[in-house]
Amino acid sequence: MTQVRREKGPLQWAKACIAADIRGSRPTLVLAELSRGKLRTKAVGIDDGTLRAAQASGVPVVAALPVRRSLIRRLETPLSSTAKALRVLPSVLDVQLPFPLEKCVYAFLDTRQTPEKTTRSLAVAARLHDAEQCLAGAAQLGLDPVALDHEGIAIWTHAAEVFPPRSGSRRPRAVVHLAHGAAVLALGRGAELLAAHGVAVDDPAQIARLLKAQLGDAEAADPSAPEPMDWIWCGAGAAAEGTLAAVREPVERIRPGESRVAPEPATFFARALATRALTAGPLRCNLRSGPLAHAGTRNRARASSVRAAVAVTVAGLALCAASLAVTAMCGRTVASADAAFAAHRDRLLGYRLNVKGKDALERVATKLDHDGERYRPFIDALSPSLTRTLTAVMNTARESGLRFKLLSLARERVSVSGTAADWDACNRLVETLSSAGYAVKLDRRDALEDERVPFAIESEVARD
Amino acid sequence: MTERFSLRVLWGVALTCLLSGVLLALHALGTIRQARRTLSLKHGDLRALQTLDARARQNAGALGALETLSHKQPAPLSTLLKAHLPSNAPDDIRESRTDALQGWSLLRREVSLTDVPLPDLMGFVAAAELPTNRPPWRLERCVIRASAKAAGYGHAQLVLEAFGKSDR
Repeated sequence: MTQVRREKGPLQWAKACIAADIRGSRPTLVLAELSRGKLRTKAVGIDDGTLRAAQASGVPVVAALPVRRSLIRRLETPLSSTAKALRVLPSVLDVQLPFPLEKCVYAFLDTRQTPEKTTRSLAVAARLHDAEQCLAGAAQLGLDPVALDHEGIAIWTHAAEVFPPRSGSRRPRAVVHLAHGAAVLALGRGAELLAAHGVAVDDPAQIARLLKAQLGDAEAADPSAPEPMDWIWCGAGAAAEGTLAAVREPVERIRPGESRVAPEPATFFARALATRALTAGPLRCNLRSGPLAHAGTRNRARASSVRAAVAVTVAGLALCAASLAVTAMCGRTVASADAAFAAHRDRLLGYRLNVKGKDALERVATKLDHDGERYRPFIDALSPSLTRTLTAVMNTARESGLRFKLLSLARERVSVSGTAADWDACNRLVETLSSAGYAVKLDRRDALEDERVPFAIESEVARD
Repeated sequence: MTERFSLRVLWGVALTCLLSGVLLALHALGTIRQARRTLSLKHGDLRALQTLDARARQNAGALGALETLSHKQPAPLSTLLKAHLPSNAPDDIRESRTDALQGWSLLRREVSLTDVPLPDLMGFVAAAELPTNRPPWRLERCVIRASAKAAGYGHAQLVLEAFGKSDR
């Protein structure tokens, strides 16, 4: 089961278009307008003022190459890459054409990879001469088509939009467009188009032969009970009871199945062209390309290319500017960090020095070490006074009944000797000195005659 | 042909601009990476410098406290002795002086007192160290020997230091 890819319509840039079926003596024209995603169509005559007004306001025209003057082929390449396949496909098509490819207009539609890792594509081609003749015919009617669609593909895809096949269905389907005394037969299975042919309306056997040729495989399995066919009838002929019956009955006898007539069959083809030109969908096609490309299309492509080039230029310049700005900003940030460091360094040193980094830090540290020695007395002056220790020692001595013989107090060392009322009386003094940050060594001796205990304390500032 | 050529020129210019932009952007990315590394090192150095600056501020702060005082000389010790130890004239006062920074000098006094009541001695030291509008004295060393006179008396040797600055 394959899903046909959606592609952009050739006139999708426009909000309206004139779709022209220019076969026959009187063209069938439809003025289509796209409004809020919905397409509204209105049939107009060739001499209609509305048509001329639309043309004057620049509404583009879309027409189609008749099936008899063009061909479609299913092509397959062994390449898995669609990009590579698209480079090879013209050569593959050239081999299958009875005339040189250089003298053709062509397009490859729905090019995609198959599950077997090959690439399939639907090739549409027409002789340059036939396309030019078609355009000349349109010009005689005062029309200048911007896009040239393919008749068979147009009726097939539009029929699929009007009567969508069941999802995943592979049921054979034939879309027959009856107009201008001729018929166009588009054949396929489910949503997949297999072939499109021009046939004579008075030769149902030709249709039967084509059905057998295109759908022959399934029929061969059980010739007595062919698969039921999905018949869709459209075109001005389908609106005429007699014409439709003359074609329909004999072919439906050969391949019976469900048969339906498209709504508004007379303008079906023109509406198909308008829908395909203005909206995205499967198998969108414009054979007015290459040497035949419309001046408007060329101008549009050129303008688009100029816009893209300007956008790329602007993006490039913006990138240049942003990059230069970022580079400059980085430089400024580094310079500003340098300046901040230099200002700090020079302030601390007291003179200008052209040294950076670790060397500068070493110079500053050396200078501060040197300054520190000179500032040492001033910093020491802010440390706690010795008087605090002296007061604590004197108070403890009074409270514990100690009698000092000698008290020597300095910042690093305290020496006390004297007598205590009992053995434990000097313990509080030890605690006082310990809490003042001294490492205390207590020496006590046996009590004297007056029962007082001689003691000596040596203490130094405790070092962690 | 001319249109095609001019379109090619336009695209050439566009792609040159884009390529230049991409190359400059790559260069800018390299610069950003380099700048980030450099700034990281510089910020580290700056932080180290700020730590050193804190030391410098501490030094300057110690001196600054003295500079704010209205009198730049400490209270005369003789006056304090007379006030707190009126009956104990000092046996000896040795004076010395060391020059310090910015015109300041470290004044050192070694005071010897005999048979001095210890509570009065403590009062004298506390008064000498009292913060006023003058640089305070600080007790740097103290030796007290028991006196035979009575309990609570002693012979004291005190070393006091203070900063002073001549008004010249």
